[in-house]
Amino acid sequence: MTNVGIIGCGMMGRVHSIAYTGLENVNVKAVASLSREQTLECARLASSRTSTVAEILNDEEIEIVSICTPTDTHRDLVVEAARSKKHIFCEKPIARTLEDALEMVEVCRQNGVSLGVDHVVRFFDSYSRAKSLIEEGTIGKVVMARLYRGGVFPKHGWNNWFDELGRSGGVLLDLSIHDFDFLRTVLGEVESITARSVKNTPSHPGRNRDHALAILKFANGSLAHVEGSWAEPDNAPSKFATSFEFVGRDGMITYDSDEDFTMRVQTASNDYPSFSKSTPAANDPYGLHIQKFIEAVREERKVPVDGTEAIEALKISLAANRPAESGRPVKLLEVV
Amino acid sequence: MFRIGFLGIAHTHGYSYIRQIQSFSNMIVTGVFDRDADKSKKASELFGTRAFEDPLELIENSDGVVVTSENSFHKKYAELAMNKGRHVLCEKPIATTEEDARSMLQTARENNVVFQMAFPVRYAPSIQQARKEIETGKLGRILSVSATNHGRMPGGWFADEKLSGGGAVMDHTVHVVDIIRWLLDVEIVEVSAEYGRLIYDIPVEDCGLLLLSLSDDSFMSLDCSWSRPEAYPYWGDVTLNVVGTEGTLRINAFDAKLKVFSNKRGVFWENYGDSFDRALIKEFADSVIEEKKPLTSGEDGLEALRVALAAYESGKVGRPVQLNH
Repeated sequence: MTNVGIIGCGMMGRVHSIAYTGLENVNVKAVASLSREQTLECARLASSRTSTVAEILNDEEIEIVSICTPTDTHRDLVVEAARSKKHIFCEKPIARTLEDALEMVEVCRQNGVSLGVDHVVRFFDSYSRAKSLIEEGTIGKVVMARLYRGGVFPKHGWNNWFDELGRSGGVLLDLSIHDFDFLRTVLGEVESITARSVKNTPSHPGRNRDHALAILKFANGSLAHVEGSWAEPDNAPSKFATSFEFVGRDGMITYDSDEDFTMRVQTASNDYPSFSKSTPAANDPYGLHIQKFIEAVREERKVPVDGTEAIEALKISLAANRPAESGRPVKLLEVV
Repeated sequence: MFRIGFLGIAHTHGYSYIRQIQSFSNMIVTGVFDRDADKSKKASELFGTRAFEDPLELIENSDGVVVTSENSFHKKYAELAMNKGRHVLCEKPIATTEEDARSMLQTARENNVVFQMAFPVRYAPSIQQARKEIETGKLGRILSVSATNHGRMPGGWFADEKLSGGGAVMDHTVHVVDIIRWLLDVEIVEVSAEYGRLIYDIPVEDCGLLLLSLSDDSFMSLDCSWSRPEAYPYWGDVTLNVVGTEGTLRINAFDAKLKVFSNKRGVFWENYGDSFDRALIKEFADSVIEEKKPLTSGEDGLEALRVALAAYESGKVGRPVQLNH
């Protein structure tokens, strides 16, 4: 039995709670967060008990800790957990700054613990199947890609932390980093980025706008367009959508979550979303990622999306944030 | 009866324009001239019209002309007709150099003729409606647009820079730039571009991504690539994702489609939407009759061309290029 502690009980804490309960021989022993109400909810979902960060880190039975707190708090918690000899499964992005991320990876290395970062898009069936098709040569060498990820502004953050550039890094760091990470697995290293983004936060909450466009040039010569958005109106029926297009020299693969799905629900009840679309699947991508993380820890192998890989995705986001003003292409080296 | 002659029939859009003209009862196609006699013969036989060997003779017999030659010949044929007092509908891009484009505008002014650009997408019902939606203010202030104009690789003279002026960037930048200038009432003030020969072994670029700064401080991206594979069920697209402070608007201008699965014809999309080309041709006739400036003018053609040329410049120097207005 692997004992787990979850720190942070917001939206991702809930997602992790549910993911762990789907795994065999895994027990969420304790959950902790700053919100009494949210901690109770995660404890209920994970059949666990409420606790504190100190208790979780001092509990010798707990081997793995999930970090699901706001991005700018990752460093302190991960460093502390590593010193307490816990393996760490950390929500993406790995950290708010490159310095933080480098320190986290180094401390984990020194303490001999594994650090996995939840770039879960790699484990979504639609994305992983596209990658398999590409690797099988179905569309020839991929030379161009176009990815979208966006929807309404995430109002659920603790003290509205997504809205603070200094905490979340904005849409390019918090959201588009998924696509940057996935693109790396398909096209390799990024050479330069040109990006523009806009933040327009009127005084009253729930009307935040955050939108970004980025053009990436890869070392192998291929090009990609990444669009990230928190700019859809809050009352939009479709709250979140992703799409991708991979162009190869012998064909193309496309996917659009707004068009390609297996279930739609519309309700009159105010207790539920009035509209939802989804593609229910046997595999929970979060559970799949965590399971592979635990297996790798057990077998003392490199974990999927380790800290080093997560840093590469972070660098792309930080580089994309940089030319937001000038539109000047930024070479990735300038970030390091 | 409005008599229209075709100077050059190298661009396949010319075929659609002929078809549309022939569907109007008050217009007639007087004939076709092309510097390649085979091309004029083929088109004249297909549409039951006369093939001319002398462009001046065709001009004599026409009230207006459509120029659908290779891009680098637009200036020559347009000015030939303008100098004889004939109205001109010119295929996009207006020309391959800014100098040519400015000369054409000057010639049109001197001869007091209608000079219309064939930017059919501006006549698309979805684009016309989008402008009305934006004008209501329901989207708030526009912050950002991401746009695409994808197509298949056209090959032939399109891949010959001397005749086309460039590849995908020249071919597909101008449509969307024209739409955006009109939809948002803006000019493009800065252009940053990445492009390359990524898919095909041809002498011009087949892929391009542009990042544009607009005069109202908003910004947009444009994917102008010839990236639809042969196996794609349609020729391409024109799409916009417009983000405002109070709402968003998406356009997929050619998506009025049926998905057809035919054992005879394979899988394809059938567009059932109103023809943009028909509205374009009607505007040409209306502009001549009413002596008005057409919705898509030669000046619009120049501004769109300047953006495409700036994109090439940006690619060469590796940084954004400013455009003065």
